[in-house]
Amino acid sequence: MPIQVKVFAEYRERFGFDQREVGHSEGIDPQTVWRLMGGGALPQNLLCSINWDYVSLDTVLNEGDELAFFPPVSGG
Amino acid sequence: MIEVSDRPIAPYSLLSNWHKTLSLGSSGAQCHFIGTMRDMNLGDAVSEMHMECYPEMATREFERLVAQAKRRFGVESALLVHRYGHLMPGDPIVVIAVATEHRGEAFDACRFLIEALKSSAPFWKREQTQASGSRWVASA
Repeated sequence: MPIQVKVFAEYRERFGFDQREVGHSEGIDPQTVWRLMGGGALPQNLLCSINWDYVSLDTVLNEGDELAFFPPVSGG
Repeated sequence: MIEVSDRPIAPYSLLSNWHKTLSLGSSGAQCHFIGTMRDMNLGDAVSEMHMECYPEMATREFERLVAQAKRRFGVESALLVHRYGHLMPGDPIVVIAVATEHRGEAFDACRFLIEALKSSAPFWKREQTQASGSRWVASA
């Protein structure tokens, strides 16, 4: 099963889409997905989550995971 | 009660409904917080705002924060509602209420929830200003 990738805020605008699928491969992590999507160098303030939990960019992804990339939050 | 909504929120109606769910007598204090949109930011007039959200993760974060508030401050009941979508100055953005045994824990828990929410809940503000156009708001 592919990885479901979501991007928010300024990264959504940069990529020009809000979600897409990326094929899963053994050991793939968020920073690899970022580069596969053409994101280039990792932004210093880049945050990510897997299945709605914050994770580091080198966390190994499983098939069917929901991965999200976003900048620091500004709610409230 | 936890809710993330793209519809306008009515703080006093939410608080009234939440109050009816409390077990009267066990909690001696409540603290309520209402956050609203301002018409000014960084010296610029702000005419409107779009609040982007990752609703599923925001709900998960709110559940985690409320569970933490219960453990740390003995919160007996909590209300946490946050708006996203299109907002105008004066519109309510967030409503928080907690009920605890004593007043100190109520103030502390309410403060904890709003501060923790601002640093971890996945919302992003994009405001429209006359001077600088549309811009993303940095986390505060």
